[in-house]
Amino acid sequence: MKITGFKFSKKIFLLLILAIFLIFIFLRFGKELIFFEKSLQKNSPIKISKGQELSGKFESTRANLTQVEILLGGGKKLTNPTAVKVKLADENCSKIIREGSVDPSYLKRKDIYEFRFSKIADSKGKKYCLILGYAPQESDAKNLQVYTSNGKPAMRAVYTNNNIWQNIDELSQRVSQYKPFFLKHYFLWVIFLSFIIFSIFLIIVLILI
Amino acid sequence: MKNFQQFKDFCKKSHFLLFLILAIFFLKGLALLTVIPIFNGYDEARHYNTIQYLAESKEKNWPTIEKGKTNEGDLVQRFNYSEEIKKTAEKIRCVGGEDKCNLYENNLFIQGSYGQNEKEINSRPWKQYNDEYPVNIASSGKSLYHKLGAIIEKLLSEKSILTRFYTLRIFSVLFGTITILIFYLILRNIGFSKKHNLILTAIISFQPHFSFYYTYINYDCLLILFFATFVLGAILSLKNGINWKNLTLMIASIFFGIWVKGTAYILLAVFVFLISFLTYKKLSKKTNVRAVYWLYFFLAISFFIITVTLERYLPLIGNFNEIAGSFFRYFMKNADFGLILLSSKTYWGTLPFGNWISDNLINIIWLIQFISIIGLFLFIFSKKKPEFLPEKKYVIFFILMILALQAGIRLADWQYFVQNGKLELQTPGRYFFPNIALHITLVFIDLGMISKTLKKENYFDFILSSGLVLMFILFMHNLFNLLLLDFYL
Repeated sequence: MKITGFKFSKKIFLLLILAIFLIFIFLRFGKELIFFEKSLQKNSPIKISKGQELSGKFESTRANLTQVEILLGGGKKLTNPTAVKVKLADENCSKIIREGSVDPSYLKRKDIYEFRFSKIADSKGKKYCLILGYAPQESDAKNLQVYTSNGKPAMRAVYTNNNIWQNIDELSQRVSQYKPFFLKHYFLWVIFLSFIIFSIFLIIVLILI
Repeated sequence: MKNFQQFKDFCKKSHFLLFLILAIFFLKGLALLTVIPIFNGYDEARHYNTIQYLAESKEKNWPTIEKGKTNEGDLVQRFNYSEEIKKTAEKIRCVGGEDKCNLYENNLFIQGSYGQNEKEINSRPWKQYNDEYPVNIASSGKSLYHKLGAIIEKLLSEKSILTRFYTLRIFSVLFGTITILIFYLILRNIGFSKKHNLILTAIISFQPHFSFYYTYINYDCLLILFFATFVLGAILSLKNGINWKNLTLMIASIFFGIWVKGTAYILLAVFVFLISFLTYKKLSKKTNVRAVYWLYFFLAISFFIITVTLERYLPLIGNFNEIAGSFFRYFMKNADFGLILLSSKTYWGTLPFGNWISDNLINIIWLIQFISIIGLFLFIFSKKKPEFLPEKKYVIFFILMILALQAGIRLADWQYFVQNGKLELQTPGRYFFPNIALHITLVFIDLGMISKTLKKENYFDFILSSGLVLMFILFMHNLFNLLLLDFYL
């Protein structure tokens, strides 16, 4: 095949665009590689108003606790999630370890809001207390609806690992489950890696020829 | 140095690049079919149950239970599927809406590569046949796709449902890989250069929703393949005239396509038009009768044959006023921007997660398509086409195919509306996949025409390469930022 086409700079421009977007995609992917371990049960919601606080305790089953997911809103999307103030405290609900506000889940899953914080490396086996408060602005709903599970706020702990490779390995284990042997683990790694490498190679060649 | 130069030269060979495109499509399919949990494709449990039903012994020498008809949108477990399907769904905690796993409430994972109930599933403790009647199957079990699937199901009958199910999915990916090869042949025969042909084929192969669709157990996988072979036959007829090879390819595509799914009747209509047109072209040169009369004659014959053949599929009930009234009611029901948007959104496969890309992607694509329509007019009304673009006859044929499929789907939707008094089939984007290659090719031809009109320099390479980069990025975003996170995190 003859080498034809446009100027070198345009090819480089396209390769740069490809590289930048792929970096963004993989950075986002890496950021969202966190793991929940239990299901979220949703019972009828309770309401808290301005100034009120609601607390619930949970035990962290793993190290590197990094997020708590909470079911909020009573079926409606929160107009201002930053009005929901969250504190993570020790099991006596006295010493505050992390605090902030919630965000909608990245995938905009219905009712799920995330309280993300820097990971707590030694969280395994420890009990924590989550304290929810509501500080609405004038345009916000007067009350915050919090779904419950066994009388406590419906929530679950989410963990990360020590590094990205451990996170990817845990993800590959999850994807492998309930699959035939030829799609599990090492086969899965080969499939994914060869797809990514060959695709990028193909695109580069098709741009450059 | 010499070896590197040899490697570079080898990489530029079109056969190598075509092989790479096909291999990547297959690997991509394997990756996707693994990521998407069992029964999560469109109506996948129903299609798999159809295959199991056909693979059963013909002598049903087991007790059956009359359970009555199940409601649409029910749980997998409450459909009249085999016990094995229902129990597997239950053990993997797919207990959401129809054929879907309810993810955040139920999908639980443990450490390691084997799920909590995987050993039990692999021990095949449940009935692999249907004993609840009426059995929920697709197309009354007559589709060629299900019959082929049943052969695989029988061959692997001693293996776990996971092996059988995922092997069937791999066959869908194989059909997809062959379809991509046919798309390449279509593009090669309409006059693109080797490089443009390869880039366009790669763009089509990375379309996200199309890629997902070819990992499901669903008869559309085979239908799209027969649409592609039909288009190849038609393109060759337009290029070389009718001969027994082209004719056989088209007739076989129609025959097998209809055997797979009724949508392929549309091919019959296009075939009649095409044959009429080619006969008109031939005869009008040989006789003294004015060409326009031949055209009217063959158009009339085409409409007559199509109407007679497809009469039972057309919602033409009552007198003219009743038909017009019914059409008006159907049209008004469809005159909803949300419904139009739904077709487009589901065509492109953005998942409804409300992030910036999902929210704005369709607007960007619509803008590109709107601009390309200007190019289409420029192309059709131009006296001389750019040398790097195909001839007008192919573009017009592509438009005819797109219009025919649109008309066919809308007619089926209208007929359902007439029979049931409500819109239920809808027109999800996946119904339009049989024409995906033609659609994407048209958009790029039109953009190429605009670039040629505006600039003397050839920007077509750049437009195609940009399209490839953007389509790949869109696919990677769908896979790594949406699908994997949705199902497993």
